[in-house]
Amino acid sequence: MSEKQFEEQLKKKFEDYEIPVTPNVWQNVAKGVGGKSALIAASYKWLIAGMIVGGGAIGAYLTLARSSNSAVLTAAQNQENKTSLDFQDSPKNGESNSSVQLNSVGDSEGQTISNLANSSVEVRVHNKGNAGLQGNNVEKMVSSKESPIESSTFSTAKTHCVGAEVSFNSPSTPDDVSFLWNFGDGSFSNESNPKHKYLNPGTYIVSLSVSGHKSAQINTMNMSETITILTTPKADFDWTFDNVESGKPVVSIDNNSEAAIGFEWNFHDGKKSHDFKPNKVINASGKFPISITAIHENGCKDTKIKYVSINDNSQLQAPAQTLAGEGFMPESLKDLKGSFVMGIYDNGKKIFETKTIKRPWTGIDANGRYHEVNKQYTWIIITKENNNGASNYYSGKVLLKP
Amino acid sequence: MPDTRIILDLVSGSIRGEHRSQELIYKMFAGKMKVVCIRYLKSREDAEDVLQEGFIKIFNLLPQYSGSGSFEGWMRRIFVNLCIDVIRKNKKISFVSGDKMEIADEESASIPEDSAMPDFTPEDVLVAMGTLTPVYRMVFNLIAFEDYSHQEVSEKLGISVGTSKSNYFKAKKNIQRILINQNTKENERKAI
Repeated sequence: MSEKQFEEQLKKKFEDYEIPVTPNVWQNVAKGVGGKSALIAASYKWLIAGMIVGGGAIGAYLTLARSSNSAVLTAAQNQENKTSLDFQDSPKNGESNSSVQLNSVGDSEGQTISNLANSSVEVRVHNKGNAGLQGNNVEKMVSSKESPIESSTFSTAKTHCVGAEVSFNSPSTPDDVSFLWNFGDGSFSNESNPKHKYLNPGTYIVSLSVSGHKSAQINTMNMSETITILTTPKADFDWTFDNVESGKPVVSIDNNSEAAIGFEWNFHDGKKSHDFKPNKVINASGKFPISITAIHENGCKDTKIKYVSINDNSQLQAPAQTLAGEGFMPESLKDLKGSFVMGIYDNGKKIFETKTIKRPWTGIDANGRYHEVNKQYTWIIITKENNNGASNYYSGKVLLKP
Repeated sequence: MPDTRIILDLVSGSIRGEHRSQELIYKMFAGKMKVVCIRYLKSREDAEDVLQEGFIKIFNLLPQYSGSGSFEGWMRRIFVNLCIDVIRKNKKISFVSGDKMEIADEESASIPEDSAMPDFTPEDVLVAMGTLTPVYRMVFNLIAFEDYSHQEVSEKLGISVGTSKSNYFKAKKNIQRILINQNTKENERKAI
């Protein structure tokens, strides 16, 4: 092992080595930087503009030594496939614009660049007139001849909803190229046609960098495009059985959706509702889906499904009769992993409610008097299971004996 | 590594105060810069403290970045300087020559010339570098990783060129010895 070998090896091992950083470091950095105000005040020593010119597939960078606040590099392409580039200095304190033209191709004084497909172009930015830019700024452009890419469009639709899978397609390329997608939200991909889900609304600049190897020369082409991710509403609801006599339980709904302006409810019987809070009568026993689709004003949607169960009473092992003072409580509630509410009804009027097996129905009212004996009372029990939040409805009758 | 265009876009976005660009720059480089800091400071907690301070500094200094030259290199120099400052402040190290280290000369010289190149990971090197004193670590870092000459190290740390050379030599030998020993142990374990 020579010293040099060791030293080289050492450096190489660390080239792409990273150690994860605890998340709060970034939070503290973000706080410390303080967002826009801290940096915006700093004078712009330089500015970079990037652009894509349709058809020609070129990229331009502009580096400027200057102190004013902004500048825009624009590109326009006319019908003869000539691209003109224009550098527009921003107005400053009411001064008129000072325009700077990009002169093309070596010593040529032309202000348009033609035949992009066949030329390699170097662009120099010169000061035009007295106002505005200072100094010479050299830029390099890559023509489409050098580029490994034939076309310069890669986008799918420009607008998507949060959480939707967005597909990106690279332009048709020769085989021997590598891709780097920057989705603009901190995620990257090396696939040619990746899919990506955005988790927050906003505007993202998606860029694609394609590198190809032609004649032992690496050519890189960059493209970028803005896509907009729209807020997706959150669909959610809770439901309970309304306290009514057995047989026809009414499902009463609490709509907990967020950021929605419209709703579509779908019920087990094929009926729909667009109400904010519909009620639904269920006539049969079984397990029924209720779904809500919440719609944002921008058109994004979210759907949630929950199930309502109307159950066979025998499952609860409720006694058919009870002695006054003894205490009515179906056996199987003792094993329930979750919560329940039991109501006792006399001709549709609730006369007793309990949520614990320690307090069964004794047939005695709040004043210590027995309810009418030798009479049938309706019980309704609604359980909620801990593990999945599923809710079950049970109902039956019990005879109060003296 | 993302190409220059993406980095420059993010840098200009950060200067405009775009939070997302700043976060992206941070995410691209934080893990790497943490490695740089650990190499100097040994302690991972200290490294994260410097990371935090360093990135705040970097975002405030971004308008001074010329746009030419490696952005990572520019960022790295800021971290290296911060780490050296921290060592100076915390350890109250005397930068005069003759910093004591528990490496006997004969020990460090006891590596046969024909030893095979040890197989090691960056983590192994970090552990080995952790056995060095802060000054040896600084000298070793500057020369092995930052391409400083002994003259430049001498100026930066205020030590003589001779001290820089001997510190670097001893530090390197110590690291090699640890890596080779570790390899031997692993091979023995495999043999069993």
